[in-house]
Order: sequence, then C-alpha cells, then structure tokens
Amino acid sequence: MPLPCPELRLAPPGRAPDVVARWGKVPPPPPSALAVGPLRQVTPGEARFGLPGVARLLVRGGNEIIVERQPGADDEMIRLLLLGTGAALLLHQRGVLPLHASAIVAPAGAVLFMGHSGAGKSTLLNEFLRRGYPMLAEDLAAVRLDADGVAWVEPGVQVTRLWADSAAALGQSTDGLRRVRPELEKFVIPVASALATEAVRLAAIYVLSAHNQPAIALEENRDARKFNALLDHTWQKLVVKRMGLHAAHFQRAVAVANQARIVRVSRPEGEFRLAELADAVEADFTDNLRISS
Amino acid sequence: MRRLVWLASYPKSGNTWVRLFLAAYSHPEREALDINAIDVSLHAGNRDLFDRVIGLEASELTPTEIDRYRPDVYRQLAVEAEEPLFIKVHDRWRRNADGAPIFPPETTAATIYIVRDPRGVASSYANHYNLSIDAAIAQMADANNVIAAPADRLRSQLHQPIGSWSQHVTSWLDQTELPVHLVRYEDLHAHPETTFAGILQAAGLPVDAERLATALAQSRFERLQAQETAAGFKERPISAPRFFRRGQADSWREELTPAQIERIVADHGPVMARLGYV
Repeated sequence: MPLPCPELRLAPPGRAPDVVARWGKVPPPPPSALAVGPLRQVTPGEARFGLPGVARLLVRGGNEIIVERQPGADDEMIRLLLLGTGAALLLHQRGVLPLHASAIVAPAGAVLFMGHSGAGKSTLLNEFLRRGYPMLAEDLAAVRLDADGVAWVEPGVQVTRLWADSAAALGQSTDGLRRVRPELEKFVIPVASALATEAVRLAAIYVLSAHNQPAIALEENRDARKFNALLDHTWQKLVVKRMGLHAAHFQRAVAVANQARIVRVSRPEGEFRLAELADAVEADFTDNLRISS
Repeated sequence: MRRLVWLASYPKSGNTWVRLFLAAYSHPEREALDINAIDVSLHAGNRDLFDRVIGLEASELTPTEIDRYRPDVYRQLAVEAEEPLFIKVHDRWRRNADGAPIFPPETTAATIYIVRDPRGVASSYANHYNLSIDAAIAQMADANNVIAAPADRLRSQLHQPIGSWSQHVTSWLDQTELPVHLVRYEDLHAHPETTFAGILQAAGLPVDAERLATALAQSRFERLQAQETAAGFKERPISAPRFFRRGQADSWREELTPAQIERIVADHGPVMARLGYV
C-alpha cells in the first residue's frame, strides 16, 4: 500500500499479496476508453478515476492500483478513494460482486445489511457487534461465487465508521477518535468484538430503507425484485456495462439472488429505533434460515 | 444535450402539482396517474443520483466539494436523456466555488419557476415541516435557510441552500444564464388551461387540447388528495399529517393572524409587489 491503511488487515506471513497498490504516474486513457460520468474512464481491463486536487487512480487487471497524488492532497481523502471507489472497481475486474452493504456472521452464515448512503448499514452493524456477532465487512461486501456457484462473502475492512448521531445512539463516545475527514462529523470506530478472518457462506441480505409510516416493516423480496435489489446496490454500477462486464455481472446477481434470503426492511424516517430494528432483523434470520452443518 | 427542464420553486409552491400534471400529460397511454410512480420524482437534491454518477459517495465530501460536482451530475443526465427530463429543484439559483452555475445552461431545455404568495406558503410550510406558523415565517425570512443542512448526521438529501423566500425568487428571476418561464401558483388555480398550456409550450412540448384536458383532470387536487388518502404518498414527510392539504390559493386569509400577515409583508413586500401579490 502506498500509505498506511489501518482499515485493512495484514496479509498472512509468507503469502503473496492479491493486490498491490503503489504510487506512480497514471498515463492518460487510451482512445478506446469510455467515460462514465465526469470522473471515470474505463476499458475492459482498466478503470481510471480522477478526483481533481486529490488523486488519479488506475485500477487494472484486478490486481493493481496505481495512485498519482495531486499536489496538496490529504491522506484521508486518498485512503477513501482507494478503499471505496478503487476497491469496488478492482472487485468488478476480479469477477466479485461489490455490494453496498455491511456484514456480520450469524450461525446460518453471512448476513448483510445493504442500502444507499444513510440507510443505516453501519449503525445496525454496530448494534449486532455489540450483541456478540463477529464482523465481516463494512460498507462494501465482496460476494464471490466459487466453482460450484456457491456465494461467499469475503472479510473486508476491520473498522467501522459512524456519524456522530449514530455513535450517540449506540452510546459510543467519539472523544479522541479519528474523523473520516477533518470537515465531517463522521468517525472511525475501532472494532472491539471478533473479526471474521475467512470467507463466510452468504445466507441473507436485509435491504434497508426509510419510509413515512410509523411502524418497522419487513417484507421478503421474491423473484425479479431480489435481482433488482442486488443490481441497485452494486458499487460502481455504471461502470459495469462500459467495462463489458454486464453479462457476467447479471449472471452473478441471478446466482446470488437464487441462494440468499432477501428481505426489505423499512423503518420510520428520522428515527432509528435501533433495538427494535435489530430485534426484528435478528428474529427474521434466526427463524427463517437453516443452520448448515 | 439540452434535455433538462428545471421545475424550480421555493418549497410548498405547487412544484409537485406541476410535476404530476406533466407526468400525466407525458403518458397519455396510462389510464390513471399514480402519484407514487417512480418517474415523477426526479429531484435535483437526490443523494443516490450523485453517488451513482460521480462514482464517489457524497457522504465523504464537504458541501463545497459536492457543489463542485453537481453540474456534472446534471450533464450526465442530459447526455443520457432521450426525451425532456423534468427535475424538481428547491435550491436557490447559485454558482459553486469555481464560479460555475449549479444548473448548467448547456444542458437546459427550459426553466419553469413556480412562485406562490408567501402568505400561502407559510401555513403549508408549517404543515410540511411540522412547525408553528410563526416558526415557518421566521425560516422564510432566513437568508441562511438550507434544506438538509450539514449536521452531525447524514441527511437523506444533499444540502440545498434556499435562502429566504425573497432571495429565492430573485435568485432565479434575476440570473441571466437561464431564460425563465414564470408561473404563479395562483394562476394554476384561476386559469388552469392557459397556465398549464404555457408550461407545456415553455418546455417545448406540443400542446394537445385533449391530452391537456385529460392530464388536468387526472392531476386535479381532489384526485391527488384521494390517492394520498387511499395509498399514501411517499414524498410526505413522516411528521406531516398529509402532503395534499388544502390545495387552495387563498386559504391563508383564514389561517394567518393579521400580525402574521403583516410580518410577511414587512419581510417580503418589495418582491411581493413585483409579482403582483400586494
């Protein structure tokens, strides 16, 4: 890694790294590259992401990220690009489904909390860590299909990040904690509970959203809605087609949809009712999932 | 490239009504207007839209950085749109720190600015944000008023500075980057056929009398209210009893005290006069 990333764990001794990130000069995109929004240019093998004033990233081959730092850029922002956008582009190249989700390990397997920014993924994750479930991933859950088509969730970062209001709701003091960025009321929270170190078989996905009704509601998704939920919450989903990966991506999403329980969870907007929400989700995966031996 | 139609207004000024009318008019093949259909709710402050197009989450960015990339979000929408795209805007018109207009002129097919008498806005605003009428009047005079202001939490929408009611109106009417078609909420009530037809013309849509009549009937206030009663409306804030509340242009006469009316006129008299409200 070009700079310290306490979010990531060290590779086991003696094992070659899967991915190398390093400082370097990022050459301009080839003429065949397609633009994806204003900041990304992609080809089937390469993806570039450039944030003016911060860095340019070249992600290629599924195993390399070159980072060209811009003058005046701060480390926090470069780390965010590497671990967010960079990691998601890399996972697409590796044939892994990068879902916008946090994950824990339940007796029946990996349970994901999936949703857009602000849906409550990290808050719910922290509540389950407090209940003793090991942590598997935060914000980005990498789902890989093995040779038999079985979906596994890879262990991700080893920290969580919370906005001040969520930390307060969890009783977590933010005194002395590092901010994600100095300007934001969002903190890096060390994980005190167990961390999963191996991939865990995917069991269930809870899709979090807020609604304007007074009650918390859980509704199991069926058929096409399962598939659509996965596509909707894929990181960097606009690059998929332009990288020529959409057929493989759709197949992966179908395979995952066919083997996971997917439940839409709606909570009243503006209030989290954390214990009640976690109780409802915990009851759902406890009652509805079979524990594999 | 010029595909975007901005439907700009201060909150609670008839923006949703106009959007629902346009949805009904654009889809004559649909038997009825569904107020919860996905394609009637494109909003300039949508956080997920920003995240998808930019490829970096707005939740990691400062307001200044978000404003730097917002014009790019709309450029991308304009590139992808195959027909006129109506976008609800509550921001006041402004430039970002680089001096670029947030709403890029080169993407713009038309700008519809909907204005409503601030005395009518006040009680509707109070209902929507669950405030007293006096608190609503105070916010409407606040130059620093921001929807989804940055705070200790992540807001579901991007921050949208709106300023005071008067600032909002003048920001849109006095900028020179976008030609504006001005619509008064009161005229939507008093002369619906001609006023909605004017919106269609400004947006570059053909005016078809039969379609216009059907769309007006489908988007009649009583019908919208009945749909909300039957099935709810997803844009209603949880704290507001209902979104489609009274749908009248002059209910403020019975909802406001003389002192409240006086205060609004004192705050906004010059701009109200410019629009013929006093």
